[in-house]
Amino acid sequence: MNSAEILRQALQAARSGRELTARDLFQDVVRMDPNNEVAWMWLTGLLDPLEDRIAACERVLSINPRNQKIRAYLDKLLEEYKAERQWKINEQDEKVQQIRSFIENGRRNEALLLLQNILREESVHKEAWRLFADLSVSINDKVRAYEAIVQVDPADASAWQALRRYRYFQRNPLELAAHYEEEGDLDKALELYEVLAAEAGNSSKFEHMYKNIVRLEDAKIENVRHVKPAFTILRMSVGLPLLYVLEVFIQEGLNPIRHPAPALWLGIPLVALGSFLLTVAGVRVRHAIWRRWFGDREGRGSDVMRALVAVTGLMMVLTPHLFLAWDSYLRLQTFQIPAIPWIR
Amino acid sequence: MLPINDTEPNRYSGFPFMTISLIALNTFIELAKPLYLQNTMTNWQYWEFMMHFYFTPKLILAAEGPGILSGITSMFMHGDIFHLLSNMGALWVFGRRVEDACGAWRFLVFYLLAGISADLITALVMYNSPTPGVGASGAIFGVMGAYLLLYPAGRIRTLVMLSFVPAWPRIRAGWIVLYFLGIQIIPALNMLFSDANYGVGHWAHLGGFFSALFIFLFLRPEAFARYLSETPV
Repeated sequence: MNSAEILRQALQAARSGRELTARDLFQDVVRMDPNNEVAWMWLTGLLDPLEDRIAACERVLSINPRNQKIRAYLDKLLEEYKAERQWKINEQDEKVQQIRSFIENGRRNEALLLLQNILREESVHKEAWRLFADLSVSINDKVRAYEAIVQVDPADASAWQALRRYRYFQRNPLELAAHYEEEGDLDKALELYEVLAAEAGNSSKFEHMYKNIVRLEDAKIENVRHVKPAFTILRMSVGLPLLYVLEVFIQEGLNPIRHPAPALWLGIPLVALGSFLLTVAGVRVRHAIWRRWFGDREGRGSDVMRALVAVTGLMMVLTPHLFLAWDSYLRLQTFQIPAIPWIR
Repeated sequence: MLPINDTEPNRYSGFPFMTISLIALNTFIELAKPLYLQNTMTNWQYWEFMMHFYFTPKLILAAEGPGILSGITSMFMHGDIFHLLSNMGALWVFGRRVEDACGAWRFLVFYLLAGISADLITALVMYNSPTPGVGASGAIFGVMGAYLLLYPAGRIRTLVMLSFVPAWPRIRAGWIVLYFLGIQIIPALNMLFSDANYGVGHWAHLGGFFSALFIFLFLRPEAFARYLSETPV
């Protein structure tokens, strides 16, 4: 049977009030002949969800842009769609408020349950999805939530950014746990390790997760304070430059005015920068360096980037030390060994 | 009183890689030294050797000789095998858990910093001394000081001779470290005010010990957070 024959049957069915049969036949027609304007026009009235009718109208207009009747109908449908969406949002607003109060009162599980109920019925409520992303521990749920947000509002840049981050964490789940720890959110980190332990494919992975769970549980029981990552980087970057300063000070005979060696002092900023790079590469914390220098959107750096930064940092630390050693070597060339003091 | 072992387990890492490596390196150098210093060596040749590799405050102040290089080389050499054994014993007892709290490479930098600080204090206080100094004890006192700060309640298995009867109780680390610190003070003051010479670098020990305050720059993030929270590191 060709498309013209099916179209004829579809028109007959539509005119005799057999709408479901007509819809199926018109769908068969557009499958066989995607540019059949008549079939698409009929479908604008026969399809059920509003979104599908809008899509059919857009299809008709793409085939025949001068179809004013359909253009007017599309405008009407779009208004209807907007109103329906607003009504849905208003309806869900009340529930979202309730969820917020649950969260504020620490009733997280009830909040999550209510959210899941709302989201089951094709929610267009951005805030509901955002709360779901915040509350859920599962990385897959977070990705699903942000996918829904960008579908509702494709212009939401922060949602796109979050989606990219969680897609990255989907591939590297341990990084997310480490991120929670850095932020001081031990509960979320702990829950994530539990999920990862449950999903662990072998005993060594499980043991790794289990160790982390025990470590975090201890930290929670002992009420270990959270230290900001920026402070950690600053603190750990100081050691190497301090060592270098003491070395140069000794090399100059503890008197930089009497025995000046300005070239050695020039090494201090180099060692400081090298030490900073080594610290950033060594402690796994989020840092702007990964975004600015390496275009890594997550700001955590891959293993390769870290190795590269660590090697650069090491070179920067070692170079002034080599100059220091060279200075010592040159001094040894002209060194007059003093007499043995206890042999007169 | 001879500390034998730290009885507490590690928290973060299983194997004290850097402590063992430092012990191995110091031992290797001490065993290799006789090959370099042949029996036929004259007093003057031995003196030359010391001037090149040992830390001599008078040379440092005059900015002559190897300078900082002697500070590093002297840190890995010892006077004799007993000097080596006592230092490495202390490094094993106190270094393992300090390394655990820092991580291997940061522990190495701290160890060097403690040794250099010990040299600096020696050069400042004994500025006129022509006597070359050698040994890892400055750095090891730094490690002991760090142990005291991080694990004051730790227990150390210690060999104690009660007359001729040996006993090995577990003594609080704080008491042991303070004992070793205490026996430095009077000789150090004596060296400063009456030019006494005991053949021991008491000021290096004190300098190394007080450089332990720098340990907070080297602790791993979790160990530092634990210290701030007044929970066991």
